[in-house]
Amino acid sequence: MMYAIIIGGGKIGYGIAKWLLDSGVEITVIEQNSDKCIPINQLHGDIAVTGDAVNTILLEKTGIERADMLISTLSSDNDNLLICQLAKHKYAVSNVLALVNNPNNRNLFSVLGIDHSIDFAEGIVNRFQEDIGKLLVEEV
Amino acid sequence: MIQNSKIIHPKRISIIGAGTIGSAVLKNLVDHANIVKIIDQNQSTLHHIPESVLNNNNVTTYCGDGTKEEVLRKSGLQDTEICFALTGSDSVNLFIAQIALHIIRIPNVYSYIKDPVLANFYDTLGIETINRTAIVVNNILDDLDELNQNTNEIE
Repeated sequence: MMYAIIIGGGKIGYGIAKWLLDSGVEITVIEQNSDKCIPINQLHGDIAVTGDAVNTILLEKTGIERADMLISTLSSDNDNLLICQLAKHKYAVSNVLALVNNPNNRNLFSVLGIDHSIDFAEGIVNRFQEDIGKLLVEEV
Repeated sequence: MIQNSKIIHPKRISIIGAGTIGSAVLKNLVDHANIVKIIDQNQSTLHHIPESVLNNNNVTTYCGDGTKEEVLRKSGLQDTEICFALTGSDSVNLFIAQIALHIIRIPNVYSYIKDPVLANFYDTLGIETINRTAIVVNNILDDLDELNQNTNEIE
C-alpha cells in the first residue's frame, strides 16, 4: 500500500487528502492548527497530526522514512521548499510535490530539482481558460 | 616610514535582515571599511540601526521582502560579492540563500540557521550555514582544550 504525507490541512491539503483516501492510499496530514485537524480526522480515523512540519523530529514521527510520496501545500513557499528538500535529499522520498504560491518562484523550485511544483495561479487560470474557451466556441 | 601599511581590500557585501544579528554584523563590517547594503522588509527595523552607522557613506539600506528575486535585484544584490541571510527565520534564510546562490549567482552566500539539524543538512547541499549551537559547542571544546593544555604545563 502506498503511503503519502500531506503538509498543510487547508482547503488544498484537505481536498488532496480526501481524494487520496478514496484512491486507497494510506495518508498522514500535518497541520499546525488543531481546529483544521478535526474535519480531516472525520474523513478517516486519526490521520491528522498537529504541529509545525518544518521540524525533522515531527517529520520522522510521521514515518517520513517509509513514505512513497510527500505533498507540501503550505501558503509559504519558503516552508514548502524546505520541507521538499528535506523529503527528497534527507529522507529519500521518491515523489515530492510542492505548491508554489508565487509564480516567480517556479524557477527556483525547478533549479533545485523539485520537479513537481504546482503553480497555484497557473492552475486556476488554466481552468478558467478551458471554460471560457468552451463559451467562446458556443458563441461562434 | 609608512605605518599601518596593511592593505585593506574592502568587500561589497549584502545583508538581509536588520534585526539584532544583522545590525551587529553591519556595524562590524562597516568598521572594517566594507561597502554594505542592508535589506529588511520593515522600515521600522531599518530605523533601529544606529545613526552613526546609517550616516556612513559605505552603507545603503533597502526596504523590501528579501524572499523575492525582483526585490533582491532592485536592491542591487547582484553587484555584491558576499551575501548574508540573517533574518530570524531558518526557512526564510535558506530560501534567500538559495535564490542568491543559484538564481542571482552570488559567489559567497551564508545563512544563519538556528536548528542544528537543518544546518547540518544544508551543509551537505552546499549551503554555508552559521549555527549558534555549533559555535557554542566549538567554543566550549576550545576552552576545554586550553584548560587541558594549562593543566599539562603545570604538571
